[in-house]
Amino acid sequence: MSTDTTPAVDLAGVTRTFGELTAVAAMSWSLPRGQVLGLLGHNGAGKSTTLRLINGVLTATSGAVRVFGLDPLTHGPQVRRHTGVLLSDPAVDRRLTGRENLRFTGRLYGLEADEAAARIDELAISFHLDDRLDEHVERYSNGMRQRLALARVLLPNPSLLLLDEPTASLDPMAAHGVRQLVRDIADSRQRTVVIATHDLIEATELCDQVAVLQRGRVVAFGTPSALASRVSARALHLRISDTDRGNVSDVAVRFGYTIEPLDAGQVAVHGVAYDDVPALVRALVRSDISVYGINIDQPTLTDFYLALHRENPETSDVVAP
Amino acid sequence: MNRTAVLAIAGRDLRIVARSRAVLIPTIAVPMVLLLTPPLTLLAARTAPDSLVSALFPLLTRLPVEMFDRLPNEPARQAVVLLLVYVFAPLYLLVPVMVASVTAADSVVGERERGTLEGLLDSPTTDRELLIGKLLVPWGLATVVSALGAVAYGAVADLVLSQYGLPPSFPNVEWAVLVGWVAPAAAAIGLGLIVAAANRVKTFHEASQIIGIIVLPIVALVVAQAAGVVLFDAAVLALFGTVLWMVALLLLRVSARSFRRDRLLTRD
Repeated sequence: MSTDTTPAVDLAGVTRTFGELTAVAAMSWSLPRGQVLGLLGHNGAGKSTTLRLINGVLTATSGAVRVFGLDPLTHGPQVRRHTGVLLSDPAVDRRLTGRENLRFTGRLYGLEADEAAARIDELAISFHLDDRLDEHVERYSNGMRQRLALARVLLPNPSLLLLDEPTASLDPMAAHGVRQLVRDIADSRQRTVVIATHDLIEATELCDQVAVLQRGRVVAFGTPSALASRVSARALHLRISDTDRGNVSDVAVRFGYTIEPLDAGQVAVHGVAYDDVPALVRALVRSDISVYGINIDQPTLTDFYLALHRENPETSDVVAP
Repeated sequence: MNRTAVLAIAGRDLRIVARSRAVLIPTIAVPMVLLLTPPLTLLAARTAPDSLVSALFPLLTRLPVEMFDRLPNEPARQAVVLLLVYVFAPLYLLVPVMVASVTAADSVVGERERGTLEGLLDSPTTDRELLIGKLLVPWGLATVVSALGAVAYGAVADLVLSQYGLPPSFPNVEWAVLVGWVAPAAAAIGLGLIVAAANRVKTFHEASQIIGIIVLPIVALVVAQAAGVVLFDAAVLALFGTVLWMVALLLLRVSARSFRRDRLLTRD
């Protein structure tokens, strides 16, 4: 198919429009094999459209998509033989049993019956479905359906996983279970994963790289820590005497910051530029404020994401078909 | 052509149809009722009413001499044979059309409605394999159910004829052409219409209403034959079937162009 150095996914100036709506605009990024990329963004930012373009289910209006060096438009079946797609609503047929759904997938992907049967049993055990596998999916809970969908995706042993908000429709417990399964897959480094998610903590934990999308454009791309480090403002937690709160507020205002009273003896000074921290501490001490402790919050991907969206607020959530 | 994938899709769809009452009832029960009600009514009536006999007079006058000679002498008996062998024949075409349209609507539009279509679109199949896999069951089922329907119809019709003291008329050449050549073509037209409509409708019910487009021409054929405008003997049926096949293949060819992943998903 291609050499090991060929990126798993390579997008070059990819645009996709639906009538007047531009769902993906001049998107370019490359993902090496074995890495996990998170696509972040509001509804309608272009995450699902991007996944569909990668898998060749949608065609790009312009630009080039390559998956393991192949064009999904001209080599769709070959590309899709190596990809597995998990949607937020599990695409398993409720009128079939779990085993029938998996067998069907095995046949679609050309697995030998014996090989498929062995893999089905193995996956059923891994995903705690073995005792319910011969029941109709209609009787499954949402979490079980999503686990079955994930088993279905993994059955042909795909090299590239495309996960579209895999925990979005699940209750917290079921979401936790699926998240753990995705985490195991990501940790094994045997597969390349592109995951569209709203969950920034999940993205921080799972992803090697994240791309933040706004109205179909990539507005930020990098590792979660690199993106977080771009946030200059952070919160400073001070442990002080309660009688000094007013004085802290006076000092903070001089620097242009606001304070938030926390538990007894604690305040948070928000939006502190990292370079201003020494000067702020000196000013507090000069004002005879007894500082018993200082804790500087490390900025997170969430801080970065929120800061980015404060700078460029989305005006609407127009969702592509 | 990835035959394994095509057969996998067809096999799964057959299993789903077999388990779905919403599909099975209109697929088998409704066409059978439509097909068997006329001969059963005749069976229950025991005699053909005079009005029926006079209504069929125009058809009687159009019959070729050799066919007329095969008919019994008595007008009521003549009317019964004409009704069972010729007049009801176009009505039979409702069976393949309904079975094919309803199962195809469930297979294509219903699949999208149930949210499982995207899983199929993500599989390593071409658009063409997907289309063939999706149409194999509706067409095959329509052909088989139509053949079984014809057997049931023939059995009831022969019972009616025996009630009038006439020899059995089924099976006969006209109905053999109808079952083996015309009905599969009618089914293919039903499939073509559903595929053409797949990108324009949202629900299974909207899609299955497509059969309304075909029902009227079929009823018109029944009326035309009863009025003696046209006589569906074996030769006319063979020609009619050929025309239907040409229309069906053209329709399928054109509608297959719109059966693309991109369009199925977005319906734009």
